[in-house]
Amino acid sequence: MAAVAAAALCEVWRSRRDAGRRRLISSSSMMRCGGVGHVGISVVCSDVDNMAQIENLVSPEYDNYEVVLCLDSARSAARMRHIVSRYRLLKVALPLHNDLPVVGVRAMYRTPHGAMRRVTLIDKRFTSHEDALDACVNIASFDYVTSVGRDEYLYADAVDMLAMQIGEWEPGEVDMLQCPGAGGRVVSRDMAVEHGGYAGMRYMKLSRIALRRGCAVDRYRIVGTRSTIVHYAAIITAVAAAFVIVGVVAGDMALGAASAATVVLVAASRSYAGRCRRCRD
Amino acid sequence: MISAVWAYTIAVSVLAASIGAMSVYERLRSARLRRWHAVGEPVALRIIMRTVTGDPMQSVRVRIPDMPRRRLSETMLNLYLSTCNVDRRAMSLLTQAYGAERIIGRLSPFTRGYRRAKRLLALACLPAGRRIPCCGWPAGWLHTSGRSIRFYTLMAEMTRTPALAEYLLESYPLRLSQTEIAQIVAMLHRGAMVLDYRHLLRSENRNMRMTGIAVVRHFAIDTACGMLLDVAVSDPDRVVSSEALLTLCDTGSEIAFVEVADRLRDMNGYECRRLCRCAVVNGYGTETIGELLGQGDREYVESLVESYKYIMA
Repeated sequence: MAAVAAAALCEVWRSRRDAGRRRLISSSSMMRCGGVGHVGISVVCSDVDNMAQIENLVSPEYDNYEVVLCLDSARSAARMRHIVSRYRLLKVALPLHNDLPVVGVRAMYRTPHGAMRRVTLIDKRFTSHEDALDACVNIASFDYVTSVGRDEYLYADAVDMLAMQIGEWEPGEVDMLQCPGAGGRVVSRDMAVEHGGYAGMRYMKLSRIALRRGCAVDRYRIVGTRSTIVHYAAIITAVAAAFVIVGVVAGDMALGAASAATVVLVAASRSYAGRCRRCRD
Repeated sequence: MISAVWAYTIAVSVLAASIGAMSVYERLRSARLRRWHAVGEPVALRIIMRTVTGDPMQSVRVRIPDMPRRRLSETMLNLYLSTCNVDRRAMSLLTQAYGAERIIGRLSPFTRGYRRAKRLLALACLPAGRRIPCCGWPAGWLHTSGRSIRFYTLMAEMTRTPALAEYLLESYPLRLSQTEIAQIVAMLHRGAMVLDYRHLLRSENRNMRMTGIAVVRHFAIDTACGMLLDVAVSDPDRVVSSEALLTLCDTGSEIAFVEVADRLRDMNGYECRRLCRCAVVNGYGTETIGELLGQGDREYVESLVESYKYIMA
């Protein structure tokens, strides 16, 4: 119990430190004009056809940034046509050689050269999400890739802050940047290819790569009131269960009170850490 | 006598209550900030914008609204950070009228860690008002262990004494990262300091050369291509020569890759691929770079170039 309490306090300390660092990076990214060196980020998505989400993904104004979407025209033909007309995509030739083996790619579309927004759309027969993401990684133009799932939206300054954090290291020293909490992972494209793409990275040992810890959550999900109620109900249940199980069943009220207090401390620290991560000012 | 378990329970309960109080404080602080952003900040912004967008030939009329000076200073700073080519004379007068440097300078010695670094950033970014006299800080902070504090102290010193900017950059002991160099270039863009890219590129110092390369890239100085090629060929640091090559690709000029063939052969796989991607994104063809690469990298370049070719139908 003491170890758990100590871990909870460490989380509080770390979240306060990350909040300060995030405010600093946010201020310094605001003053920047242009990219961070040659740091470039490609956002890869599989089966994302919600136009509001695509608009959100395309909205960052960072220089070296692109969005690569992979859809199946057999499942969402109308939405694909809408995306092609919305961003004025042009059909391009398929790549001759792929770093990662993928099957079922029918066509590819890109925004015209020099367009403000770089959007690439791949028409591929859907087999699995990992396969679709690998197809996106094959033609990603920048050094770092991050996958975004359905109903995940990026914060307005997410890409800038990710680039600032990657730029703190020398080129090639970051294989993976892990965002805290509900954030995503930004991986080096070459590292992803070396480990067999998104399917292969599932079984990869993190100790063998240069994993860096970021300080800013880059994405959010739109949740309803129900999940908040469920969250608080779970906390109350955990506290009560700790007290009942240890105190009443084991017959030691002091120990039961201690375990309940530890659960409350952990819940409070997680709540505070979450609030620090969500704080954008 | 309280047993150890009860003592632990009381201590943990007190800690949990404190963390709960901190959460409540953060929530109230967020609410106060939201209220300021919604109500006070637009008014402050309008007043500041009227001051800085007035006729540059006429005298500047400074109006100080009845608002907290610290909030006014932050609003002015945010405006300055997110814009370029703002009237520096008017901003300097506002800085002096609001006492922004005094407020930030007074608070800085009492903060620690990233908060101190943020205040140093604010001090570096504000246009010069009546500069507070140097009292041993922040120059003394150049020797602290915190990297961000050392860097933003350097920035504050460089903007305080623009004539010594090159000297300060050369004598900075740490290797500047890409993020830090991008911030220096941003201050250069806003006219807070003056650096000559020729001096920077000819220097033997790694930080100076990297900054020079970043300046050439940011301002798209085509006339510096020859100097960049010299750096790419002659610099012993692989990172610097790689950055010079990438910047050459960004300029879109004709590059004689044959001259850097030796450097290309020394590159590892990651650097090669990075250069290939940059070259293809900037419109270079397979014949320009493909001949100097190995079989695997050549196939990759050809594949990437093909994927940019439009199908005319």
